[in-house]
This record gives sequence, structure tokens and C-alpha cells, in this order.
Amino acid sequence: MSSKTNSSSNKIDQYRRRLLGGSAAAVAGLTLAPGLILNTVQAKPADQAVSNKNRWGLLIDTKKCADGCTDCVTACNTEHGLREIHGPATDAQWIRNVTLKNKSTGHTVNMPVMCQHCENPPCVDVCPTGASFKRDDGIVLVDKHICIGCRYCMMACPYKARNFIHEVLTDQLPVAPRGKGTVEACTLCVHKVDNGDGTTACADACKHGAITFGDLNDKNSLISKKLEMTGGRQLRAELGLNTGVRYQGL
Amino acid sequence: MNSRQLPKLLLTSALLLWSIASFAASDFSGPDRDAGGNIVPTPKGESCVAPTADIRANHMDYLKHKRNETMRKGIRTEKNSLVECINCHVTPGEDGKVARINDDQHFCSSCHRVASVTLDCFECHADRPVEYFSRSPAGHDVFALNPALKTNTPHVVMNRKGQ
Ligand code: SF4
Repeated sequence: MSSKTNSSSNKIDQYRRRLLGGSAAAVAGLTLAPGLILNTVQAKPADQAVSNKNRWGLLIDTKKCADGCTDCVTACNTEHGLREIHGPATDAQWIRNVTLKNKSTGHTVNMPVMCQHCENPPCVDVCPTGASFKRDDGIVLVDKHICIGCRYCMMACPYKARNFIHEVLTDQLPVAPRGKGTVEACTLCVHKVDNGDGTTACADACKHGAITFGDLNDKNSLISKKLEMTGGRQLRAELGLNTGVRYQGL
Repeated sequence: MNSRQLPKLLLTSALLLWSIASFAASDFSGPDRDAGGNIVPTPKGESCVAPTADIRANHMDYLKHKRNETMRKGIRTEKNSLVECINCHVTPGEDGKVARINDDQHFCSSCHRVASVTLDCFECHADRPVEYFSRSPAGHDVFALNPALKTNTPHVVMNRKGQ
């Protein structure tokens, strides 16, 4: 009994520490540029469900995305334990480096393309089992426990963001369970979001500052400020999916 | 029932009871031994999140409930989380190594093998705490560079092992 009391008070201490750490981080603001103040994202308590108060997203500045750089892809692969099996044709790619070339002007644009975390995700519409789902905070995920690997969602996704796992996998990381016969895609680093890290592996890794992570619902977040000041477009906006990932410089 | 059948019945039921008792004693005497009587690494914590009998009977329901809470709602408390079960129960043995899911001494498979229950969790989930993954000195994960991990190790279904 005493051990139980002990461990539960330890737990409370842990939560308290996390809470204190979280709010201390939230107080700290970082001025990046005149008018742009980075407010660190505050961690939600671990026992609280996510809510639609937040809408997580990314803003990608294609003008900053450097030619030939693959840092975000490498960081994503490292974070989630993705590794080479049979080469790019069949290996899972949560982020793809896409180069667009305007044929008439020759102007090229580099950009990372991942799951766009749509507000109205086609992959969720078509999934026959309910495995493809959107969390209340806008993150689109696959419940691999009930995914039957039919791949309808891969067909439905306009961004080719989803991957099917063909091989038996080993050595998956605790933060990213993945397995044969299921579909997967960018999780917007959901484990980091829930931990209150306030960033994703790709945003963290981009030394050119091309990727900004943040809360689209928070008017004071860096991502919202940037969108307000310099704008941002959706890929295939005509589909009306209201994507959580936005692009600048297209 | 005549008088000649009674001792027979008594003997049969006594034998039955004895075999159940000895099965329980040899195979489920405690969390620290696997089916073969080998010592399984002792858990890190002082006590489990619930009494042993409760956990033995209901852990699958607890895990399933927790998985839905975590995945769908982002509730990441430690109690009943599979990662925390592994963190506590998969500890290094005397040789300093942790048992993998296909090893006899792995906490989960040691019991599931005896109970003949196929365990699917670890086809996707990590079977050991994160600190037992190979990492480069720089802290980056290098199993990408380990060619041995590229080959698809044949999957072993636990309760068929040894057949
Ligand atoms: S592959 Fe899985 S997630 Fe995709 S539609 Fe089929 S069951 Fe749903």
C-alpha cells in the first residue's frame, strides 16, 4: 500500500513538473522579427482530450526551401524509424521533396509535400472501416488496429500522401508503431504535439527556416501571424478540403 | 451411482485438482518466471498499476481501452499504456541484454506461449524500451545504416515456436 501511495505521489510530482515546465515555456516569448512574436505552445495535461480549440498545421515557404536539401525528409525518417527497404518506389515516404517547373518560364519551385491534414479529408470519407480518422485538433491519422489495407484512402488522397506497408517490419520505434498490411502517412508528429513540444521533426530540422508548425486557430501563433502578414495557399484549393498545410511562394 | 464408482470418481477429481494446482504452481507462480521456470527479468516498478490477478484477466481490455483513448483523443497518461508496460517489464537480464519478443524470456511472450494466445501487438509496437535501440554516438538512429535490419527477418508466430 505504501508503495502505491508513493508511486502515485511521484506521478503527481511528475505531472506538476510537466505543468510547471509547460507554463514556464509558455510565458517565454521570442521576438523573431518586428511584429512576429513566437509564443511557445503550451502542453495540454496528459489526461485531457484534444479539442477543436486547436487546429495544428504547417506553413511551408517554398522560397526558402533549398535545392537538393532533404533534411526534413531525413529528420522525419529518423523520428519515425522509417528506413530503406526496397527503394523509393515502394518504401514509405511521409514527406516527398517535390520540384515543380513552370515549362514556359523555366522557374522551378522546391517543396516538401506530406499529408495536408485536411479539414474535410477524402481519405476519411472513403475508409470502409473507420480506420482513417481526423482528431478533434485537425490531425488526420490511421488507426492501424482496424485498417484492413484496402488502400481506398491512397486512391482518394489528392496529394499521394499515404503509403502502404508491403513488408514485415522490425525495430519500429515506440512513438511510431507501423506494420505490414496497413496504410500510413505523416502524423504531424502527433506524439510531439501531445507532448507540447510545439514543433515537428521536419520543422525542427529545416535550417533554412522553410517550415513553420503551429496552431491555425490561435491568432497570436507564429503560423497565423505569418499567414496574416504574407499569405499562404492550399495545394489544390479548388477541392475545398481546407488543408492544414499551407504553402507560400507558389 | 454405486459404491464401486464413488472411489473412482473421487480419485479422478483429486487427480484433476492436483494437475490444475500444479499447472498453476509451475506456470503461473509469479511474474518473475517464464513457462520453463526461467527467471524473467524483474519489473522496474514496485507494483503494477492493478493487482496481478486483475491484470492477468483484464490487461487486454485495459490496453484496448487505453489505445483508443490515446490514439483518438490524444490522452497520453501512463497508466495502462503499452509503452509504459514495456518500459517497466522489459528490463535487462543478468547479461545486460533485454529479451526480444521472440525470446522465451520476454515478459509478454513467456506467458502468451503457455496460454497459446497469438500476440499481434509487437508486429507494429516496440517490444523494448527506447533506450535499447541502437543509436549512433551523435544520438541519431542508425539502424537505417545497419544492413542486417534491411533483410526481412522471418516472422515467428510465438505460440508455434519450437514446433
Ligand atoms: S487502407 Fe486502411 S485506412 Fe485506408 S481506407 Fe482502407 S481500411 Fe481505411
